[in-house]
Amino acid sequence: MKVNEDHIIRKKIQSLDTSHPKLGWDEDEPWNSVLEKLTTRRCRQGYWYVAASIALVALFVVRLLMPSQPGITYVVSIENGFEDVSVEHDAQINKEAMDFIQSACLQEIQICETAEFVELKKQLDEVEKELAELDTMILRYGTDPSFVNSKMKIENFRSEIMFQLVQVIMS
Amino acid sequence: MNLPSPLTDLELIKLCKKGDQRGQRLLFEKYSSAMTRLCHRYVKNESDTLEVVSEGFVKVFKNLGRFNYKGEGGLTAWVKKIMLNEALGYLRKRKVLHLSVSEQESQLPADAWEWDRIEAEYIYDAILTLPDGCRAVFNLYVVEGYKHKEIARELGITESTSRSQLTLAKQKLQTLLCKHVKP
Repeated sequence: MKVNEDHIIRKKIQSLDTSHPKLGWDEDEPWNSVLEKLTTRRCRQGYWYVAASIALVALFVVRLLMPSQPGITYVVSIENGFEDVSVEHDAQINKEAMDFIQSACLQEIQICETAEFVELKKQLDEVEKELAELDTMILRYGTDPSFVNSKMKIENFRSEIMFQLVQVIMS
Repeated sequence: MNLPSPLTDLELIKLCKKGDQRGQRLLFEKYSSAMTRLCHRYVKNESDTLEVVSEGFVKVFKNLGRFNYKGEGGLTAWVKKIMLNEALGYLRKRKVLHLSVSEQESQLPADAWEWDRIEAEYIYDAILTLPDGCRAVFNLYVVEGYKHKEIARELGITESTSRSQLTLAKQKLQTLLCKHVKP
């Protein structure tokens, strides 16, 4: 077959593009299907925004309440008890925030490719790495107060970065 | 390729970027026929075509924010590319692109065939009767204007397989269509 014959076929096929092929659908079915998919995805996205908002509010409430707790003294038994609960709670909040960030980016939200987001994510990865190294040191040398203090500071910093990341996604 | 629309592509893009549903509907209507034809030529199955077309349009609306309008025809080419990717993705997922490499490259008659004397709808219907992989090669080469190298990369086959499948497709089409040649 010659090239010009390919051209003839192409032109003939393209001439049909202005008319729908004979298919057994209702005329509105494709558009309804598109609408349904768009709505479902918006709802799913909305769910993540709500979840992230709740997580953020909870994160700030915990952060605000923590310094004013009368139990944070040198009374070891009370401090340990409170810390266990709050640390566990913080970990949960951080996990939720991280889940939100990851799912948002999986949905190809273009904001995750912005310079601001990439920079914050890089900082978060570095902080995570530092925390992992600190945990190894605590395991090896015990709960030295300087390690614990450093860990708390880094964890606070991590929460701030996560908060900023979520804000970038939701902006 | 497009149906006449009261708005230009640029105006439609602006509306869609704002999330305006009326704009989305107009854009959909403008490209619906051409894109349904395109997906149907690759997918064949009607309900799967509906799925591929709607998924393709969802991707169009979702990614329109990143699209840079650079002049007439740009939006058409971009929408078409998304739909083509979606249709080929469907075929890959269904593993229907496993083409036989043992196929002997047969020769087509040296004489020019009378394609211009056949109704377009007959050619369209005949294309649908081709085996899946063979049909994909024919569509990509003849209708979309791809080179064998590009087809090989796109379908994960060799260039020689692409060539032999194209020859096979054309032979089958000629056999099917000879009765429809207008006197």
